[in-house]
Amino acid sequence: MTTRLPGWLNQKNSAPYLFVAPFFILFLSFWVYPVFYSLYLSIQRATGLGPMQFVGLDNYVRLIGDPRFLKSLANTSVFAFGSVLLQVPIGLALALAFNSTLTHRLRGFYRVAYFLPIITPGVVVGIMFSVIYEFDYGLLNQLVRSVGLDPIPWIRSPDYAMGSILLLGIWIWTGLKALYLLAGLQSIPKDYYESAVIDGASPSQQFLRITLPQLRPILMFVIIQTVIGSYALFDQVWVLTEGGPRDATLTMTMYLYEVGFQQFRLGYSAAIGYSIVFIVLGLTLVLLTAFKGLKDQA
Amino acid sequence: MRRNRVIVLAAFLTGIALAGLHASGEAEASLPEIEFWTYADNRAQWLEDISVAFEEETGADVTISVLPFAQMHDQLQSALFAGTGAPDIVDVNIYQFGRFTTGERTGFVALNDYLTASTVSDLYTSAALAPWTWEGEYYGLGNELNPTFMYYRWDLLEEAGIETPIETWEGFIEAGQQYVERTGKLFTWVEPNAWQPWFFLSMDGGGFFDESGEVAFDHELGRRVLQMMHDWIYVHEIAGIAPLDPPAQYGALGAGDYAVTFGASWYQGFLKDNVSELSGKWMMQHQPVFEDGMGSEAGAVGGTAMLITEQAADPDLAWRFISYANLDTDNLAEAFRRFNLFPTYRPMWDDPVLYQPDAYFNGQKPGEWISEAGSAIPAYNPSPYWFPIAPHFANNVLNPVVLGDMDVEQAMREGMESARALLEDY
Repeated sequence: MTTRLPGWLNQKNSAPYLFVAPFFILFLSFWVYPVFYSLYLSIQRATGLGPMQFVGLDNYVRLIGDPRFLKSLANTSVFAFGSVLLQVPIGLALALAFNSTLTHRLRGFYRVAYFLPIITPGVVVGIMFSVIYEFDYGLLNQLVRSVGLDPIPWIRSPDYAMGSILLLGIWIWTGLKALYLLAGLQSIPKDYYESAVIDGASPSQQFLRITLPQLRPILMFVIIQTVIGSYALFDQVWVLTEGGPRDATLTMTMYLYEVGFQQFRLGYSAAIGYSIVFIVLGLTLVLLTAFKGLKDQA
Repeated sequence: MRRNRVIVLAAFLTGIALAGLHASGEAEASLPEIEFWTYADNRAQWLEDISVAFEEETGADVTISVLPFAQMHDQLQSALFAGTGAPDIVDVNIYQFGRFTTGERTGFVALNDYLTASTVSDLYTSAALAPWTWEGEYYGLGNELNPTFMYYRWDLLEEAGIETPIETWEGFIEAGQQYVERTGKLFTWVEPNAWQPWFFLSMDGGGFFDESGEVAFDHELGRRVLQMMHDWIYVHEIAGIAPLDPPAQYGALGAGDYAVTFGASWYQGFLKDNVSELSGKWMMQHQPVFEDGMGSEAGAVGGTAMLITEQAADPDLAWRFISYANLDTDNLAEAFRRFNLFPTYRPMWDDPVLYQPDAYFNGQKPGEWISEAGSAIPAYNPSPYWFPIAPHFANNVLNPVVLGDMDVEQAMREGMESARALLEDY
């Protein structure tokens, strides 16, 4: 006599769920639960060890009047927009160079060379640049002195520190953007350019009328990714300046860490975290709308 | 076939359950364990070596784990908040303890019941207990006496015709000017982001906090020290702005670019590790004071204590290990031999092992200097506000003054205002 198993114990019905279960268990435990628990924390007063106190939106209201939070928001936004304005055009220029027949043979080498910074650990990069930017003995100021100029306080002065971080960002991330844009360039059908040449279009007209519009989806992705990555900036700056001098390089994630761990104010720290989420979400929606508008105009 | 699969699955699950029961049964019958977290390799090695005898005596199994400084304290905080995952005993840095005093409880076991009156009297309490005391409860036992000194290159000063010891800050400036004139090099440096030197030179005026733990760094001595640091650079021109990077700092010392620096007794180990080629060329002396007597011949900075977490499986056993490490003369002698850790346990202070000459410091006996300076260390005012106030001071008061962007009065005034605003929502 054959025993009929319940449906859930039947191998064909249960096997798929068993196979995806490990991922979902980990996903629920280490992503979903922390996300919702931190939202819960953000509406609590959770300072030190002891009972938490529900405070509603008080933590979020406090952010508006917190000068260090506002300073970190300004710093991070400057870095984000500066990165977009610097890294994307440089990345595009590199991608055009990689795509050129002149660099065809060395394309593989350049891909590896420009990808290396992105896979170098953030702490290592921070330590490297602390030596490069050192005022008296650093590499950059040795070069500056060699041309007869006064040494520059790259990370010693609040006036230069954020610029130094932007340079650091260019070194790390421009290559990756170039690779994304190169993939975009290589996906543009060559027929378009051939037709344009036949119609008498100049190289600049081809760039403006064919290359840029065709690159719109990739550009949208690269710009949004730059903005999101900028608001998550932590490792390299923490090692290099710890947010100084005088909070000139204090980012939102660094302030989150400082409040949460050095001050043990977990509720307020969670509110800072969610403010980053809302800001990045808002900026992403704005960018998506802007790019959609460009598409409609085209 | 389907029945076979069910049988196999059932057997598999049963096997797992039995293995789990067996493991838990084994755990109940196993040795008592002590899990210890520290952030210093030299302390870890010392603890591992001395724990062998402890394990033989008690039957306990001691596991020492070394984690990076910041990560260890952050991980400890997370574990205490989560209610699980904390070790039995942990080394907590003196300035990291404050964060654990911000809530209703600290997360640690109070040691008052373990510390008898005679034990407390045997300890140099301002270094051993005070920094880890909160609301009348002792939470940690620190085993380092960390007075601060002026370290100088005796060979360079002798060559420049400068006599030591230098007893006053006014004399220090004169010596510095003479050194600069005769050698063309800078005498000392000032770090633009490190609050520690200002702190240990200003401790006698109160440091950062008053007795109730409230921020109060704008006292007279603090202003004088800050002004002095500024004037070294911009008025007397005997000091430079220190390299920000420790490797660059040691490189500069190794190259003889600076002849004087300041630091705690534990800084001796860093000098030995990083500028070993200068062995025999350094000496130490007490800190100068102002001619009118303001200041102290020693401050103190840094320190580590052993604390028992509230998640310890056996607090009594944990305390037994702490007292074994910190109140045993043989173990403390070993610590001093290895890394110049001068104990806070007074009965050790007559032990000749502490008073051996050190070739690195030109035959001086660091132990004599440390024990002498120990009595000059001013009282320490702990506070739950250590972070954020110390970095706030470095960022907003020290840095603009040292870089010449702001005068001392303005920096102190604005620094105090912003410090009070920072603490409003605590």
